Amino acid sequence: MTVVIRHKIRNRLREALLYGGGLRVDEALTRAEDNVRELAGDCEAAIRSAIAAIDAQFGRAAANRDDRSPLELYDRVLGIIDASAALDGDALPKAARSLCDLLDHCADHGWDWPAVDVHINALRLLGCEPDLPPEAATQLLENLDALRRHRGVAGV
Amino acid sequence: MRPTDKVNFENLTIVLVDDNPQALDILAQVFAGFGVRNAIRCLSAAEAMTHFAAGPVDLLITDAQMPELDGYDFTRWVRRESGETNRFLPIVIVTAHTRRGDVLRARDCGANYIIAKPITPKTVLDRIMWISREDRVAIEADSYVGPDRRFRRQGPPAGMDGRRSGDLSTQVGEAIEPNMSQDAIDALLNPRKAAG
Repeated sequence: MTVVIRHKIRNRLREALLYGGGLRVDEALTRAEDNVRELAGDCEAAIRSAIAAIDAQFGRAAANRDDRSPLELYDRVLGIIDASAALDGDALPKAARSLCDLLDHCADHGWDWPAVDVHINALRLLGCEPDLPPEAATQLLENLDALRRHRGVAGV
Repeated sequence: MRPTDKVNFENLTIVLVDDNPQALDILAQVFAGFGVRNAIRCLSAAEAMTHFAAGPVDLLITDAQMPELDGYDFTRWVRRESGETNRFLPIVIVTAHTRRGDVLRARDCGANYIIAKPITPKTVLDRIMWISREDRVAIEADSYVGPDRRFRRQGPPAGMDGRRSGDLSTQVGEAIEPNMSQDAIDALLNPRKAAG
């Protein structure tokens, strides 16, 4: 028989957070956002460098890219999503998540290079072209969605 | 949560775990902005484990995808093996992407919340405030140790936005139209012959 024990837990977080002193919520958020913005330059550089590395190892011209695992590329793309926390806009992390969905699918079904190439191009445009108009970014994301649907790749 | 409400993070001990130093910097910057003085930064779950023996931890924020021990297994370790002091502490997992094969592990690991990266200070603060205001009991069973997962039916805490467009709060607010008259209520309850 399964035994289930229910524990009533003292909420230490509530005791510390809500009783006395501290910062106003709006002030705390502004300070945190300013702090994160300080990292924008480093994060932008990290994203460019990650995209260049992805291009070199997994782009069309990369030698022996078939020998690599989709999960190697997956790990690199996660870094792009991490770093985009310090940047404005959500198109780049959305495209990166779309590529993660695709690579998760590829890990089980094998490489789908045409779809991967389209995603790498999208990352390059969204991550390295600061003057890309917002409408173009939106269109790009819609195309990635359509491509994933066409390939039967479900998002989580 | 109103902008003028006050929060005091000064005396909290928070453990932040992420194998990506840049992501760890971002998390640390968020909590520094919130006024946290004691944020312990760890680049691996193994490193974080050493801090659990040292004393009480008030909040754990861990990345999901890490080599060796990932955030889901680390959370299971905290809930089952870290000792009585910290086993039921609030845990928030941050994840850039969840692989399909990990969805059930994420659900069953015993975390309070899972936040999608890229993180924003507002989302992090919202989830922490949710945790601080909820009274979920902790469940301990063979297959699961962690906060009671049946809380979702209760809706988000009063005064806070839900995570989904259809989330409704359980708090009953002021009436927005006059009460029904007794005659109208009686008319609803009394059986009547169908017309025709």
